[in-house]
Amino acid sequence: MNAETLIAMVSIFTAGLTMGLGAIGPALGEGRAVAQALLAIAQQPDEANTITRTLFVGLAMVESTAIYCFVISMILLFANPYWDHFLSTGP
Amino acid sequence: MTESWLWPALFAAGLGLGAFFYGGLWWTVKRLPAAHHPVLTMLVSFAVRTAVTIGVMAGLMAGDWRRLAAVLAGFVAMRFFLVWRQRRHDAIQS
Repeated sequence: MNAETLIAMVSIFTAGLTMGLGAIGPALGEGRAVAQALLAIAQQPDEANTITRTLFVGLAMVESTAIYCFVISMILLFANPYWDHFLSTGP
Repeated sequence: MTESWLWPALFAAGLGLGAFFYGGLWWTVKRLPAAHHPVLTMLVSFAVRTAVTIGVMAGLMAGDWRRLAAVLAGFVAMRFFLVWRQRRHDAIQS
């Protein structure tokens, strides 16, 4: 078990974990937010504009976290700085 | 390798991606009350927007995490701008 193998193993495992958590969390949050907003719009149709705006702000925050998780996974898998460092210095 | 215009260009690309992603979200949310299948609309919208955003980011990254960081900075800047604009609109309305 040399350093490169260990870095590769941990990176791939972490990328998978990041994607899993980063998919579950925002999905649950987004579902709740949309359901509540539609309920609110159904009860107060004349307030639809304000509710929609607030929903957008909330969803923007929720979906951002998903994108950040995607980005971290991409860095770990395709542009891992530690991996590059160890490859350049040699064993 | 690194020209002086590369980082601003990547940042601008991030701004464009952010505009596409959150503009698409805004469009979807506006259509939501009239949609026949709100859940399906939201899911498909999220899948398409994320796929395009992540695909372009992966292409622009070109194996260097600093380039991805520049794109992400533009993306986050656009997000903060759009959220701020919506909030300001709310404050003016109320």
